[in-house]
Amino acid sequence: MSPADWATFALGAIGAFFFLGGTLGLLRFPDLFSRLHALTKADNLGLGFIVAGLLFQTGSVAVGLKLILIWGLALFASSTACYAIGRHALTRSGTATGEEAENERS
Amino acid sequence: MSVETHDIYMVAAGLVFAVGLGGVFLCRHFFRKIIATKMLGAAAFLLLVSVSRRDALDAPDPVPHAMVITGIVVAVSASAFALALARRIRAETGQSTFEEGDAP
Amino acid sequence: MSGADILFDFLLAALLVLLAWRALAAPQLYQAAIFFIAFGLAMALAWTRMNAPDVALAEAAIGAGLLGVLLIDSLAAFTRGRERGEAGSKHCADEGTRARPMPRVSQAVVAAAGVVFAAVWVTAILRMPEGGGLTAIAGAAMPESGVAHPVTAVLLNFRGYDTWLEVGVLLLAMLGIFCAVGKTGFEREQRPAHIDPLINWLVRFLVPLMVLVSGYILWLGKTAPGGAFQSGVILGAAGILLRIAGFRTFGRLPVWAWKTGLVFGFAVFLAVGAAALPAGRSFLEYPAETAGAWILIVETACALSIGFTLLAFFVCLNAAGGCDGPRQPNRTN
Repeated sequence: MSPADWATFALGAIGAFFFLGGTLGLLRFPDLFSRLHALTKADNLGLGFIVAGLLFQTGSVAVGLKLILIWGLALFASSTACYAIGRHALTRSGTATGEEAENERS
Repeated sequence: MSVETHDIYMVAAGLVFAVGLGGVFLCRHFFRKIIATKMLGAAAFLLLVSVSRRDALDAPDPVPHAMVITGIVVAVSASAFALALARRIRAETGQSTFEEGDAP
Repeated sequence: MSGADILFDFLLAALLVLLAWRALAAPQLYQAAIFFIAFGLAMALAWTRMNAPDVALAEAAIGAGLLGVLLIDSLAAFTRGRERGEAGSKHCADEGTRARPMPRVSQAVVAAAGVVFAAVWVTAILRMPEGGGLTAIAGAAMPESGVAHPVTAVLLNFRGYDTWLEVGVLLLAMLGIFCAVGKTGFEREQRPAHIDPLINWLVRFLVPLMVLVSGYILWLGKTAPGGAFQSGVILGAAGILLRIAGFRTFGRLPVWAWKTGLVFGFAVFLAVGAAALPAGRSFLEYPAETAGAWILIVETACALSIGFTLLAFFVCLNAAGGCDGPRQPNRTN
C-alpha cells in the first residue's frame, strides 16, 4: 500500500470509531436530547474523517471539492434536523428534560 | 463454485420477495400492505439487475438499469396513489384494514 | 472478488432481509416507516455494489427519500382520532390489527409457503442459463444515440417509448390521487407561516443549491450517471422542503399553472416524438446527428414535470390529511 492508502485507512478507521461512538450514544443514552447530541456531533466528525480519508484517493481537485461539499451539506442538514427534532420535542413536552418526548419515542 | 456479489444479491432478492409476499397477506393495516408491495417491487428490481450483472461483469448492461429506474418511479407513483386511496378509505369509513368492524 | 468484498455483500444482503422483515413486523407503524426508509437506503448501497449508480441515485432519492416523506406524512392520517379513549395506551400501534391476531394455522401456512418459495427461487437462480445480456447490442448502437452514457441512451433513445409512457404513469397516478383525495392542496392558501429563523436560513441556503445540483445532474446524464429522473426528484424535494418549512412559494400558484406543470413533460415528449413522423421516421426516432439536442429538450421538460408531479403528490396527500404545514401536537405519533 502507498502512503496515501495508509492515510485513507487511518482516517477511515478514526471516522468509523466516531460513528461507532455516535451509535453507542444513540442506543445507550437515556433521553432524546443526549441522544441527539451524541448522534449529530459524533457522526458529523466521523463523516468528516471519512471524507478526509477519501480525499487521498481522489485524482482530481474537482472530485475532492465535491466530497467536501457533500460533507458540508451533511453538516448543515444534520445540525438543522437535530435542532428541529429537539425544538419539536421541547414544544411538545414543555420541559427541557424531554421526558415526555422520551416516553413517546417508542 | 465461487460466490460472487451478484449471487448474494440474487438470493437476497428471493428472501426479500418472500418477506414481502408474506407481508401482503399477513399484515392487515393498509400502511404495511403498501410497504410490503413496495418490497415485492424492490426484490424484483434487485433480481433483474443482479442477473444482468452476472451476464455482464466487465461493463454494466444498461437496459435492465434503465428499466429499473423507470420501475422505481412507477412503483413510487403507485404507492403514492395507494396511500391516497387508503387515506380516503380511512376518512370515509374510519377503517384502515380490509376487515369489517375494526372502526373505533 | 476478494474476501472482504464478499463479506460486505453478505452483511448488506442480510441487512436488507432483516430491514424488510422488521418493516413488516415492527409493532408500530412509525417504526415500520423508519425501517422502510432504512431499507431504501440499504437498497441504494446494494445498487452501487452492482455497478448501477444511476439506479442507486434514483432509489435513494425516490424510493427512500420521497416515499419516506409520503409515508411519514400519512402516519398522522392513520392515527388521528385515536389519541384518547381505550386505544390511548397503544400510541400508534396498528389499530385493530393486533386486537385479533391471525390464526396460528394461517401464519404457519404462509411461513411454509415462503420457505418453499425461497427454495424454488434459489434453485431457479442456480439453474439459470448464462445469457449474453444486451450490453453488446446497446454498446454497438451508442454512436447513433446522441449521448455518451449508455443508461441515458436506453432511457431516452432506444427505449424512449417506455420512458414516455412512464411519465404518463406519473400523470395517471396524479389523476388517481385527484380522484381519491381531491386537489384542495392546490387551492388552499397556506397560512402566513411563522418560519423558524434557523429553518428559514437553511431553506434559503439549500433550495438554490438544490436547483443548481438538479441542473448539474440533468446535464451530467449525457455522459455519466444522472439524468431527468434524478434531476426531477431533486427539484421536487426542493419544492417539498419549501412547503414543509412554511414558505408560501407554491401557495400563490393558480391551479392552471399546477396542471400545466404536471402535463408539461408528457406533452413535450409527445410533441418531440410526433415531430419525427412527418420526416418519415418512426415515432420517437431522433435523427442521429441531432439526437443529443432532442434528448436534452425532452429531459429538461421531463425533469421539470417530474419535480412538479412529485411535489403535487406531497401537496395533495398532505392537504388531504387536513394538516397543512406544522401540525398540532399529536399524541399518537
